Amino acid sequence: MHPSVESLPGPAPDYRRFLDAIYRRCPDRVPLIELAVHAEVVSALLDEPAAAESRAVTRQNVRLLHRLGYDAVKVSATIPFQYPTVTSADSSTLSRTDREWQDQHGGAIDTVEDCERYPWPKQDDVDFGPVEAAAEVLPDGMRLIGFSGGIVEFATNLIGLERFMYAIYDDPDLISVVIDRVGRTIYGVFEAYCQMDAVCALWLGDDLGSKNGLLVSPDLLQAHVFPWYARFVELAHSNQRPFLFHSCGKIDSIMPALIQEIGIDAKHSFEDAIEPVEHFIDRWSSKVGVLGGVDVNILTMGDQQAITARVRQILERTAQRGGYACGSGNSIPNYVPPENFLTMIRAVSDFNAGA
Amino acid sequence: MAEQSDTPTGALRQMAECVERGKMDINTNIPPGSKGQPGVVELVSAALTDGVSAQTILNEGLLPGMQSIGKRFAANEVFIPEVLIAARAMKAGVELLKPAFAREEVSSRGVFILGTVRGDLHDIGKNLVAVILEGAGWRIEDLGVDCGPEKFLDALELHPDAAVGLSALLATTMVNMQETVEAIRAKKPEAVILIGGAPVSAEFAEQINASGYAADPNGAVELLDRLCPPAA
Repeated sequence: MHPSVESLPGPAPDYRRFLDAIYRRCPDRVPLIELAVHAEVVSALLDEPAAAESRAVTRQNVRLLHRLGYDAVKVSATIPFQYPTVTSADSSTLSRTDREWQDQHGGAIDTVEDCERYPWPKQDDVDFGPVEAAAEVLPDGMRLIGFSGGIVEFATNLIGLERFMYAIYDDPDLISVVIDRVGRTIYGVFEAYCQMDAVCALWLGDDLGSKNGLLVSPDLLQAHVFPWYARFVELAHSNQRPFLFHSCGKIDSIMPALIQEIGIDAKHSFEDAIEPVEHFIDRWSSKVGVLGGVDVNILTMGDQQAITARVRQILERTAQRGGYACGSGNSIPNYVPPENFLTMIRAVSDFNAGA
Repeated sequence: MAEQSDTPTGALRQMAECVERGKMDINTNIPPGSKGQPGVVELVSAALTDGVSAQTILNEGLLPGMQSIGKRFAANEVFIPEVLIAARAMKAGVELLKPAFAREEVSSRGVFILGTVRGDLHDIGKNLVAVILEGAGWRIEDLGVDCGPEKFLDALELHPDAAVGLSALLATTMVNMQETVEAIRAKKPEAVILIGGAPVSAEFAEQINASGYAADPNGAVELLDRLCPPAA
C-alpha cells in the first residue's frame, strides 16, 4: 500500500451511511462515492502491479476503496455486446497503452434485419464474475452498487452514434427495436443484482447530454427511453433498493421527469463548466440524493490547495442538509494523478474529522 | 454582369425551410407524410433551371436554413439529429451548385481550418461546428481527427489568411491543444485560433494563448464575426 494511503484514518465502513446520503438524510459523516477508479490508479495507490483478470481487478478495487474509507463500491457485470471500436495513442499521465473508443460513425447494427440477426446476449452470457468476486471479499459493513450502462449508451454503441442520430428520422423502427432489446437485456442484469444480498443499490449510467444540452430531443427520450428507466426504478424499489442515475452533460431540462415522473433516488455526474454541483444541490437536493461533483478537470490539473479548497467548498454547502456523497464529478481516469485523487479523499476525511 | 433580379423569393424561402427541416429530396419523408413533395434537391434544380444564380441560391436559400438551425441548436430547441439532417439537406443542395460555382465568382467569409487535436478521435462536435460555419458562409478545410500541430501548419501554408479551430473531447487530449497553439503562434503570431469541446473553457483558451473559446457552433460563428469582421 502506498504510504500516503496508509496515513489515512482506518476504515469503518457502514453502507447504511451511504444509503442515508441517497435518501437525503444526514449520516454521521459524509460518505464517499466513485463511479470508477482506473486500474492504473488503483495499482499506483496499492503499490502493486495492476491485475489483468476481471475478478482480480475487482478485488483490488474493493481492497483499495475499503482502505480509503468507502462504504459502498460500484461493481458491474459484463454484458457482451459486440460493436466496433477505434484506437489512438493515449496521452494520459499514466498511459502505457493505446486508448480505445467507440466508433462514432459505424456500428454492428444498421437495419432492423441486422437487429434480428444480431447475437443478443442472453442472461447466461452476462458475466457476473466480477460482482461475485467483489461479494466474496467484501469487508464487513460494505455493500456493492450494481451498475449497468444505459439504454442510449448501448444503443448508440450498437448502431453507431452518427447512424443512430440519422435513424431517428430515417429509420425510427430501428431505434425502437434496438432500444427494446437493450432495455430487456439491462432489465435482466438489474433483476440478477436484486437477488444478491451484497448489492444495496442499482446504478444506471446513460450519457444523455453534451456540454450545451441534450443529445436528442426530450420527446424521443419520453417515447423510447424513459419507459425503460421507469421499469428499472420500479424493479429497484420493489426490491427495496434505491436507484441511482448517472448522466454526463447538461440535462437540466429533463430533471423534473427523472425525479418526479420516473422516481430516481440520486443523481451523479457534474461538471463545473455545465452546472457546479452546488447549483444542483440548491435546486434538487430536497427531492433527490446528490453524488460526486468534484470536477475532473480540477482533479486532473489542479494542485493540492485547489483540490482541497474545492472539496471543502462543496462539503460546507452540504454539511447541514445531508443527502450528499462526495466524489469526482465523473470518475478517476488514468489521467488524474493518483496523489490528486488522494487529496480529494483526504479533504473529505479531514472535513469529517472536523479539521 | 448584373445578377438575376427576378428571384423567386417564395421558392428560396421554401428551400430554407426544407434545409431547416432536413427535407433533402422528394423521397425524404421528413416531416412524416412529406414523401413525394419537393425537397432541397428539387427546389435547387428548379431554381437553377429558372436562371437563379448559384450565389443567390446559396445565400438566400440554403444558408438561411442552416443559420436558423444553428441558432435553434444553441437555444436547445433542436438537437444533434436535427442539425445533422439539416446539414445533409444543405450539402445535397450545395452539390448541385458546384458546377455553377466553377463558372461564377462566389464570395465566402474566408477559410476556417478545423481539426480534432492529437490523440483524440471524436469528431461529431467538430462536424457540427463545420456545418454551422458553412451555413454562415465560411469555407471549411476539415483536417479530420487526431491532428498534430504539423497538420495545422501545413494547412495554414496553403491558406495563410485562414482562421483555425481546434476541437477536443477529453481532459486528456485538451492539453494537446497547447502544443498546436504554440506551434501556430511561432509561425504566425497573429493567427485567429478558436478552441472548443467538452472540457475546455474561456479560461483555458486564455491560458494557452488561443484567440477565443466557443461553447457551441453558433458561438463560433459569433466569435469569428468579432475576430474576423466581414469586409465592408
